[in-house]
Amino acid sequence: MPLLPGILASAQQAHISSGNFYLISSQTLSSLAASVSFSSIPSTYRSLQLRCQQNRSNATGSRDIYVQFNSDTGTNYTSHLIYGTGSAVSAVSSDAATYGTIFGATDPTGVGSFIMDISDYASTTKYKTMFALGGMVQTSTPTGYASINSAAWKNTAAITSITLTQQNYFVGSSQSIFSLYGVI
Amino acid sequence: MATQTYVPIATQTISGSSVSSLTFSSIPGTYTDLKLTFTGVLGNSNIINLTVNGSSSAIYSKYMLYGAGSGTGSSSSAVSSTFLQFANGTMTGTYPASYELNFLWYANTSLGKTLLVQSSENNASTGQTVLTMGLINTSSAITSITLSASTINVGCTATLWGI
Repeated sequence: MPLLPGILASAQQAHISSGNFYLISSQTLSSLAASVSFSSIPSTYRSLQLRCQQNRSNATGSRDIYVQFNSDTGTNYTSHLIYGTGSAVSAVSSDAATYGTIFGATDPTGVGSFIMDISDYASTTKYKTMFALGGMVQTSTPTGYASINSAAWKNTAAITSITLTQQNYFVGSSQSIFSLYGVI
Repeated sequence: MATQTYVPIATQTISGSSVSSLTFSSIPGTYTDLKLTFTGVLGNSNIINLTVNGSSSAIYSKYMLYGAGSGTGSSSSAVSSTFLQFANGTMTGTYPASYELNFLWYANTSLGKTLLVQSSENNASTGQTVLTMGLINTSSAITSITLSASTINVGCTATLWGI
């Protein structure tokens, strides 16, 4: 497919365009899962993009999505996020956490999605950052949110694996999909 | 071997005279996600809306997070809308707007469809940048997408991508 001039894919990742976007792996859940992982990520791309839609039925309690790289459970993650609930805007942050955070509302059910970019993930000389747009909408009651999320992983190792967890599990039943893309 | 993706499906550029809507139809179900990019000048204070599959049923919900120069805000329309408004219509006629609409898992037939939209409406004093989280509560695969506004001017361009 030829590269089309002038058409860019993302305000955050200005180098993303047709012709340099590759599917690395995609997972469609068929049952409840405590975590979703992508491993053996090749270092041949400039950045990564993870795109997800998940059904949250049967979940209870908090729904933040936790991101860990290279199975690092140390206190090496810092997160900042802003979110709107339909009537108010709030911001939160965390430092020295054991995971990066993508905001999740505290309501019980709905359909959520996020698109997460990880720039320069294969560098071995600097800390890594991720940026994610996300949100969730209830299917039956008027509750939801939109959020802008960022996190830093204070480690210079190349990212070779990504693990996502969530309080009260991801919800599957063939109703959640996670796709990892590489951008050259 | 990774699979190359992010493929342009179709592009529409408005020429001759302005229109009030544009539609991408016969969208193949062979991709995981869709992205629709739109740039161009709308009419003054035009609000641009989305419908899919020609449906004006009450299946559209959205939550918006926006910055308007001097402040932030959040608004919503939940459960009962017959279209999805993903920007606040802060256009002033000569400045261009740009929108990027991401349709996640658009071809699944068991779950509602989410979309994440980045909207930019820039002008001298009253523009906004907006993130919209939307839900189209239908189990039907999305096979057509319609954008509508009072005035979509000549020169506006929309491209549909498969990811």
